[in-house]
Amino acid sequence: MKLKVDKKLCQGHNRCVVLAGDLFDADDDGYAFIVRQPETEEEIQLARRIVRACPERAVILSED
Amino acid sequence: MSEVHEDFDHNASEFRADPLPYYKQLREAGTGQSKNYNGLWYVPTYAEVTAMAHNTDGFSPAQGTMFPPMNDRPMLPMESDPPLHTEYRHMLMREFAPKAVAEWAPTIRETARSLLEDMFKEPPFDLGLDYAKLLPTAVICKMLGITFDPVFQQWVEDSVYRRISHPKEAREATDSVYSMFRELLPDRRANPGNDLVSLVLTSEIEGEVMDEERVLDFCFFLLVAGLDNTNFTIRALLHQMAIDQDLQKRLIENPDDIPAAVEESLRFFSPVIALGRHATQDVEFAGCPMRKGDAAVMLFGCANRDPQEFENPDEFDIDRFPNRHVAFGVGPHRCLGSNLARVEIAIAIEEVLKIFPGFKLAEGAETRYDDLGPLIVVAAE
Ligand code: HEM
Ligand code: SF4
Repeated sequence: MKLKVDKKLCQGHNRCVVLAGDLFDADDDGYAFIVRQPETEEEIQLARRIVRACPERAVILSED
Repeated sequence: MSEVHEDFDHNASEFRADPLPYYKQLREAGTGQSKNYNGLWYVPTYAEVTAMAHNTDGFSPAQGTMFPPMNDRPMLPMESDPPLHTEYRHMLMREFAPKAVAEWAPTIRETARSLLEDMFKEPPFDLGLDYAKLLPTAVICKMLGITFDPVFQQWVEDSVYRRISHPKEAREATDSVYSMFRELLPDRRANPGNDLVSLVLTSEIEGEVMDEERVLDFCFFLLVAGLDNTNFTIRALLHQMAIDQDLQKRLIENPDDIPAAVEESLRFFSPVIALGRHATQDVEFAGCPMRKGDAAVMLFGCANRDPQEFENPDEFDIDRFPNRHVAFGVGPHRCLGSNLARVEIAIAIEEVLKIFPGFKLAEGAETRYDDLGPLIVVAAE
């Protein structure tokens, strides 16, 4: 399982940072990056929510 | 081609007064062409708006995004194409990123408080006129490093808010704002500071600093870009809390829910109704034959009520998830000021709730709208 932000798609909407500040942060330019991978089942659920919340479909959670 | 598009005019007062029936018909018909504004195309659904906004090769904002246009100068960085646009955005992004905005938060809060204190001195007062309208101007002036005075507020208002009802006055006011910046540039060039004007003056684009006219276009747009829409959202959410006391109670008890309420207000009230593009080549878009140079506007407010994307779109629901609204646009031109706007709106709401929990519309006051959203007359206790 790997959580990623596609930098080419991210436009800095910051939904991810607001909704899951433990997993995402914004760099100085406002683009999102992953702080750490989700660990607990709860965090994985949260990560799945963020995949749905991003307006640019830039958050990717590969399930393998 | 549907009849609803043929006669549609996004500035018509009948539409503005009651947009939902138009929105439904427009969405059901999909993108279509109107007779107005030389055959303007209207793009109504969430999927179509998103597709157009992402297609920066096929659709350009550089020939203008507003119909009728605001003035004959480009609004920068919005009305430009890559690769220039990418450089412009790079220059500004850092100043509008969450970190930078967080540093402004204490100033925004102080400003909000002092506006509220002034307002309380003279009851009855109006949270729309005496507060929501002034806060965004006061804040952006500080970011630009310019003095906020009443004359200035008037110019900005005339220039932004009255461009359709009073085009001549609006034009003069725009010229006054340009002159004000023009006069201030030599000093700023000699003594650059930490402000946005200095940043634009000293940054290199395509390897050199920009000429004065281009700098002025940035100054003007950075000043006005976030005023009416931020004000509108603050007013709309305050009004919503005044008429829905359960919502207000929830936000008083759980201030952590305020950001979700702000997000839903942005979707529900969508302050920016329409922004446009021009086709850069003959193209078929959403099944419509568009010619090179044709103008099309994305109806953000209409897309934000699209049932294909939002369940029960006409319900105001702060628990909505996901809420991928396009109130700030979407794609590469998406609002640069969104982080700032969100923080301003949230702080504006928090401060009212602290000073005035349980506020209601004044007895007998009916909700009236001016060009800038609902007027919220609140009686002093
Ligand atoms: C609730 C408040 C706001 C709303 C609803 C809003 C909405 C929008 C929208 C829809 C666009 C997209 C333009 C397009 O696709 O053509 C935009 C762009 C922009 N906005 Fe905002 N805006 C708000 C506040 C602000 C503020 C406070 C600023 C601060 C200066 C700002 C600065 C900009 C800039 C510079 C752009 C151009 C971005 C680009 O083309 O790269 N906005 N805004
Ligand atoms: S929500 Fe999406 S677009 Fe916004 S910052 Fe996060 S990854 Fe980027």
